[in-house]
Amino acid sequence: MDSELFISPIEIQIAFKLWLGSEKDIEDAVYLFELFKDKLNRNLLIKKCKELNVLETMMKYVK
Amino acid sequence: MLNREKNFQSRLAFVRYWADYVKKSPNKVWSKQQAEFINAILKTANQDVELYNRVKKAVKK
Repeated sequence: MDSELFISPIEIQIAFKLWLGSEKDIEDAVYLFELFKDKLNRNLLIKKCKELNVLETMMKYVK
Repeated sequence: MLNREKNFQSRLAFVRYWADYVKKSPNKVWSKQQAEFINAILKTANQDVELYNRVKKAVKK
């Protein structure tokens, strides 16, 4: 049986986790980034981080 | 560096290590390990006071 599972873009999930900001949330953001970094749309990630005012946090933890 | 910050940096290092391991390992291998870990957490979370006390008593023997 063919099925589709829709999820929000990983870039938004990373930015949102950084916005939530607890240590656990930042760990989750780092995990998502490390797992998907080869496939991420960097421009979208930066855009979403700017929108949520977490660009500095992103630069600090997501390498 | 404060213990808390050191602890956090240590956890971040592990997160990066685990992500790298997941990327390099076959899905069957890492998912089985992750499932065992999650099942163990759920088992611990579902234990009641009576079970907790029994386990504590058994460990003391």
